Amino acid sequence: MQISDSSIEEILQKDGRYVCTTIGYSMYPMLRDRRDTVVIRSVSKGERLKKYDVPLYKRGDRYILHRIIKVLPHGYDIIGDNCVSAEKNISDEAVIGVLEEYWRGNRKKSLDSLSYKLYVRMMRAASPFRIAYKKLKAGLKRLVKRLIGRK
Amino acid sequence: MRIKNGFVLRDVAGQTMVVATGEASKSFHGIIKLNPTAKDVWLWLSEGKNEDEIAALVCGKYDVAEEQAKADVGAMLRKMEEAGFLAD
Repeated sequence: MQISDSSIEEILQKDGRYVCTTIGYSMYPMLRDRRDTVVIRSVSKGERLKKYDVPLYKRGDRYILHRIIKVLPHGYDIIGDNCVSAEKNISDEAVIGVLEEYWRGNRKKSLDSLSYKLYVRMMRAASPFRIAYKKLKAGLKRLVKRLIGRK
Repeated sequence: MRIKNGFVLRDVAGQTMVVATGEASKSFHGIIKLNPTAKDVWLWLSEGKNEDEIAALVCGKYDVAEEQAKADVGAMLRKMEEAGFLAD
């Protein structure tokens, strides 16, 4: 038994793969906070990822696992399945790995499965409506807060 | 003695790893790599077997002397205990 607390980059470089639990709701409903586990494979130098791949990249000290929605000449536009705004022009250099497979609870999920492909297409198709709904909800919340605050 | 809730075993590209989920992931952020024997010990422990039973199973499966199996299983369990993976 070997317990490793090396950094993600070190593990990816040494073993080519990294397994971890995801934290947060930005990729919900696909990945649930601290419940699902992901397998990340390292990306080789010069490797270009495809639209809808889910890269692991670094922003400051934080590691982010979100979905590519646009492939640019030297980077990507990326957004979490449950996020409202995309992160533009994430450079190739910032990407340290890409999602290879994941477990939802104890069920292993393949990225090549029909159900996964359908999920991705449906999430992307519904994205404008989901974003509009979230923005409307946030706006109404602010309005109610302001009205209550006036009393 | 049992494995705390939240530690899950994953087979990835021929390597067995254990990662923490749920509450356990708040205190343990690393990865545990298991060789085939360690994987068996982990699984038998998950099934509720005690140290002596696991040592006997290791003896039977891997054709090692009883004393050696007891020492190896004991060492692994102590390591797991020290790392905080076990509960009473």
